[in-house]
Amino acid sequence: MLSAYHLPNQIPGEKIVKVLRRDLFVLFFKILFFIVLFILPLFVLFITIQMFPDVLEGQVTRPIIILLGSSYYLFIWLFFFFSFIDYYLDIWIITNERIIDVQQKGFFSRVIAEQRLYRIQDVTSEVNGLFPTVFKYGEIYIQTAGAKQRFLFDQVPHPNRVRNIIITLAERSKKKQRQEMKKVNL
Amino acid sequence: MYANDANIYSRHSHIISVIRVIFMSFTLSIFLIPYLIFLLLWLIFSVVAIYHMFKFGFKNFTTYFTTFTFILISLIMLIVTYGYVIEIDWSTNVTVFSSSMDNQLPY
Repeated sequence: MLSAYHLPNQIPGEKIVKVLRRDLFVLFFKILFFIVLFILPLFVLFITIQMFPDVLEGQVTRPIIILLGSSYYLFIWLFFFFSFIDYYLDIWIITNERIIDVQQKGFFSRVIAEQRLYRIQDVTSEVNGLFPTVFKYGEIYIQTAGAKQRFLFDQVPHPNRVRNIIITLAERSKKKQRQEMKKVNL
Repeated sequence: MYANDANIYSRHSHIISVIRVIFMSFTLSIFLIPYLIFLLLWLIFSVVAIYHMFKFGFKNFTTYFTTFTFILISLIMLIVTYGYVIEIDWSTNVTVFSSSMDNQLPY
């Protein structure tokens, strides 16, 4: 289990500056989708009762409706929980030393990539579309000199503000790195 | 040729009538089999989901609260279903596609 106080492979003196997830609007959209899925069978049942008033009293139809209804709602509920986990476990952690990209790709597949701040070459933020503009979320592309050259922060809130934070931290880290290199050379 | 077919039919008419009876009537409990298979799969995936939440989630209130809510609402759904399921007599014999039903639905 991750902890805000115990990062994986924590560097001495490392502090978390920001933990990012996709914007809450993305989660809201998922919730809205599941509310529609929740209401839809009730609507279908209502129409069916209007057409066949005895359908809930039938010797065969009643057990079928109960079992199908139960299966449907259990499935929807589990599907919603999966969807929430997908949202909740995809995180980007910005510390004063590095950026960590944790991605849950389905079940039993988890990708963790990290990059030291002094390796960052370029940070670009992008806000595209109506909803991202209104609700202020978008993408941040981080170009680094590492093995994974391009980091993507997907649908994160306030991308411009986060980009500024990353640039400031990267500059500080580069300055610190240069000073350490000078000390080693002396 | 037709006489030969009629001969085969008369020889196997008993087997055909038995098969007809099997396919025409069954107890309601047969519906419980696919439901129980679904429940088993649902349970496996639920355990996997909860495992992922605790293994990879942050150690904070949201993780515990959402997992607890998932378990609680799932239990409520299962209890409500159980409440409806025990009211039904699953040993009831259902006959479908019988000529005596005069093409009526069996509900």
